[in-house]
Amino acid sequence: MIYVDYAATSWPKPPCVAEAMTDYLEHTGGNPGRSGHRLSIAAARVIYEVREEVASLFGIADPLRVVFTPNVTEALNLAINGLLDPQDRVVTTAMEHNSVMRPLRALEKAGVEVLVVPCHPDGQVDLEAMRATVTHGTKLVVVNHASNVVGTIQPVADIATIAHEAGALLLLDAAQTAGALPIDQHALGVDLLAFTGHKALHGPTGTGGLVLGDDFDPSLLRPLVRGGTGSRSEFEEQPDNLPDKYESGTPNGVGIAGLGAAIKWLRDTGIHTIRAQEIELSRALIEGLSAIPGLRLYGPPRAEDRTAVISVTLEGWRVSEVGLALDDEYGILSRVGLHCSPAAHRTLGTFPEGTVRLSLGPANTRSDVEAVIAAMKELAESR
Amino acid sequence: MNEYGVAVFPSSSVAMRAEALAQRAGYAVRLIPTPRDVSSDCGVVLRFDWAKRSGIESLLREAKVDVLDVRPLRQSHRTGGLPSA
Ligand SMILES: Cc1ncc(COP(=O)(O)O)c(C=O)c1O
Repeated sequence: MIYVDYAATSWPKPPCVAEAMTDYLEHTGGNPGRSGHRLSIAAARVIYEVREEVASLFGIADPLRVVFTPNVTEALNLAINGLLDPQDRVVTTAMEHNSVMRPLRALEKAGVEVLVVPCHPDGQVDLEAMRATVTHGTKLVVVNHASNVVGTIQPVADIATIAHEAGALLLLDAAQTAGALPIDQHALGVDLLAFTGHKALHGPTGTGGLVLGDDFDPSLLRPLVRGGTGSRSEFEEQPDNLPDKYESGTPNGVGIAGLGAAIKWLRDTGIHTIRAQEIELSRALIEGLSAIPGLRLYGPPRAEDRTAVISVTLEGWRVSEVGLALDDEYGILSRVGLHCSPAAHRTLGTFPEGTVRLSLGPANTRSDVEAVIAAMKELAESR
Repeated sequence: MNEYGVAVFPSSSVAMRAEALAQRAGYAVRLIPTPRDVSSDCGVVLRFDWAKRSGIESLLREAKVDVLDVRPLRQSHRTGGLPSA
């Protein structure tokens, strides 16, 4: 079996992830921060340590500005719904995932002005159009750091400059890049960073978060969910302190423990090392696939300009049939269709059929890449 | 017998941060259940050696940790020592 669906979720996870989760369930498991006994304290300590890991991963000074959520979708919903009011203007790109577009379209009905900046055919945002659209009075700019369809990496620092010059905040959807690329939130100028734990961070599903930049003013951001925090119970109003303001309900302690182990594994392995290997494998895959007649590649031609996500279509084939043939006949696990991103596929010219997406990760090898190329070649020739 | 003090925080996450900072700075501290007479609902407070009060206070102030209160601990029972730093 060859797993090339890392953009959906990473697999396999490093063994330390399951070990940390088992350890949490068997030995740690009090309700974090609710009680004062040793198991409750131990659970809260585990979660706090993972906040430190996440903060240091993204270059944030205060670990309490790491807000855990079940996934990036909820982190994006928290940021988008918590910041925007009717009459506000928000700018985004034509490469976004539905976890950004759907909350924005819902707010649009409530009177928020939503502007979508076009992107070049390879997925790169049109910076001139961005500059013209993000006018003074824009409250928020939301950008997908790297496309989940074709891997295109956006020039985040340039977009941040444009946003900040107009007095707007920048929210980054780092679903595809957290763990895959080195990210320094301050150097990039990102006010709010939304991440998910189960993709390139190699953690378990059910983990993610919103990281508030050290200069971001939390009074601007309403919570999405309110309820018990284990703190300030004498008040019936939601507390203001971080992260409790945004973390009601018993957290996913076991998942967060696994996420912490995954980030330590990433640190030990080295994001740069993984990135270098992914660039090499992507380059080989792009090169091999480009030589196949009838196969069309999307996205930036250079592996350095994208994460390890390659999208293709095959002349004469429906993408769903390619996906099935790859799975059944070759044991190659890919993802086909629209990848929750109709806007991106419109930009690429692949709407509504979608693409076959091949996304690589640290467990992939050169021989995996060769097997994928050989399989695609056979399919192309069998038409 | 040592005299203890406790630092009180708005939430357990803040308490965890205070504990980590104090331990890294070499202080012997321990999170204990919040005593009844301390007005906080956060389940734990950070207990420390009262003689180290000013050092711990300035450490937490410099790290911008939200400290609600620092006070001596009134003990009615034996409640165990501090772990060595
Ligand atoms: C760019 C992007 N944003 C958001 C998401 C949503 O991720 P999750 O399902 O973990 O919330 C994904 C992945 O599916 C993605 O690739």
